[in-house]
Amino acid sequence: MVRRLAFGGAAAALGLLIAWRLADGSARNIVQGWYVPVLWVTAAGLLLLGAWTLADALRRGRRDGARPTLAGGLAAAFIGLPLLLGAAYTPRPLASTNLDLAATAARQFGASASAADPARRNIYQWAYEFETADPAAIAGQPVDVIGFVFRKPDDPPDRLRVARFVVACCIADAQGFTLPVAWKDAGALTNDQWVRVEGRVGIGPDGEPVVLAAAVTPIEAPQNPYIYP
Amino acid sequence: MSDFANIFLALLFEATPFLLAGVVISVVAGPLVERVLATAALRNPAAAVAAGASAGLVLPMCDCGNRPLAHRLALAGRREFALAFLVAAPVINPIVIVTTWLAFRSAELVILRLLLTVLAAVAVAIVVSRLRRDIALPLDAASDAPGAEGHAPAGPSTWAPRILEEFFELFQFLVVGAALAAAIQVFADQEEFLSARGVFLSIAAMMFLAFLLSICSSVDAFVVAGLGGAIGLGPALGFLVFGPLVNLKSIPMYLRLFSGPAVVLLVVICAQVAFAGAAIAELRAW
Repeated sequence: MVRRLAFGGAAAALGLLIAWRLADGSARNIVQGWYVPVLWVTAAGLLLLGAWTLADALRRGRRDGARPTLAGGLAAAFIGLPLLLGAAYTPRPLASTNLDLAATAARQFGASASAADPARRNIYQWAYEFETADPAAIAGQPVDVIGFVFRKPDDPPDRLRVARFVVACCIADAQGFTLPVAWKDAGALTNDQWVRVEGRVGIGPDGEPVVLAAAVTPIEAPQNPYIYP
Repeated sequence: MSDFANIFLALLFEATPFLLAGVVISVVAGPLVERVLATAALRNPAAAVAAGASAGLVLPMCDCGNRPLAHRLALAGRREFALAFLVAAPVINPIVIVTTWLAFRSAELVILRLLLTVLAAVAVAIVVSRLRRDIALPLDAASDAPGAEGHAPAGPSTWAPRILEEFFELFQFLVVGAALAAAIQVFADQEEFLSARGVFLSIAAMMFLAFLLSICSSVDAFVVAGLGGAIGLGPALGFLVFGPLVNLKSIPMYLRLFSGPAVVLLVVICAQVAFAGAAIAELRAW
């Protein structure tokens, strides 16, 4: 009975943890949007299985003869670790500290990065255009994107990068993409602040494309912080 | 530390639904699959290998989800089917085929990925099934003992406890694998692998990166597509063929389910097929 009580209790606890992180929205900080219904079903399934097993163990009401062992203790520790960590630590969205601009400079793009309509392009799709298109061909096109601010301490006061992570499944596969933005008050913005950037594509001093911002408006962090490829 | 916790929880949240689904299918549908495999047509080893290599098309399961069923079938003596299914299903399934196509829009890459995976599955099934010793380790030996609770007659009334026993037996190894993979993601520099030069070194580096990153096969193509412009067909194939079959997250679970010699052979064969196939594809591309 003890063994089944332990498994039933662990299943219920894991189901509750997943449901909790879904309900408070923090699960979206670590997994893709389409995972949310999958995780709800998983949480419900674990709770159901846990309740069933607990009830079955109590109904049987006899001991299974299991004695504490080192292997059993290790198993309990490994099963308990994510439960404790998941309860104590609230998953947070990836932020500017997770950006690797050196890696970003060498990035390729999935086929979904291509979008014909400039007005509908997100940061990922604009980064693709900035990387692959002739700057003169996209100069003047309107830009309207949301992302978080990324500035290095030595950046000029009128320059920032607006960034967003692309997540295919979970943040283990996340890749950050940024756009250079020219904005007169960039120095007043702080890293990780979410903003809406409106403007047009221009050409920088070295011939590289840059967003010439007409407006940079602070906004609330979106419910979904990531772009899905 | 918070980065480690973030990625560790992400990997667990990503894998847990598929592990649970795999165990549910193994416990609930396993007996039916065993009966199907007992039919005359599938007793032939060649037919069993072919069926196992293609079963993912009707049972689309990633590498976390297909192991419980493969393990059950191996325990039941259906070695050829189980091994071919174990290796092939994470890639030979409609979800992975579609996502690989969406990421690359390259029929050549999709076909080569499928062909190399099938080749690895067939090779593993043929070689590992010839091992004389048991290749599958029994789960939870205590509950299989006569008189123990786990020995209760199989049926719907016992599904829930059996599902949870098997689930947590594997979940603890998933925790170990996810912790290792998260630590690598946080503390290792991926750029070192991407900067490898030369056909063979770059393929080996990408295979090792795939092993370390432990990314689910259903989305790994998006990751490879975004890793860098210097990556050619061969290194991309090395990542996409080897990563879903052998990775840091999966090794602890493999070792809990299958014997050491079987796991070593599986790893070596998959590595050889992925490396040789990727190298040939890369050199041919030149």
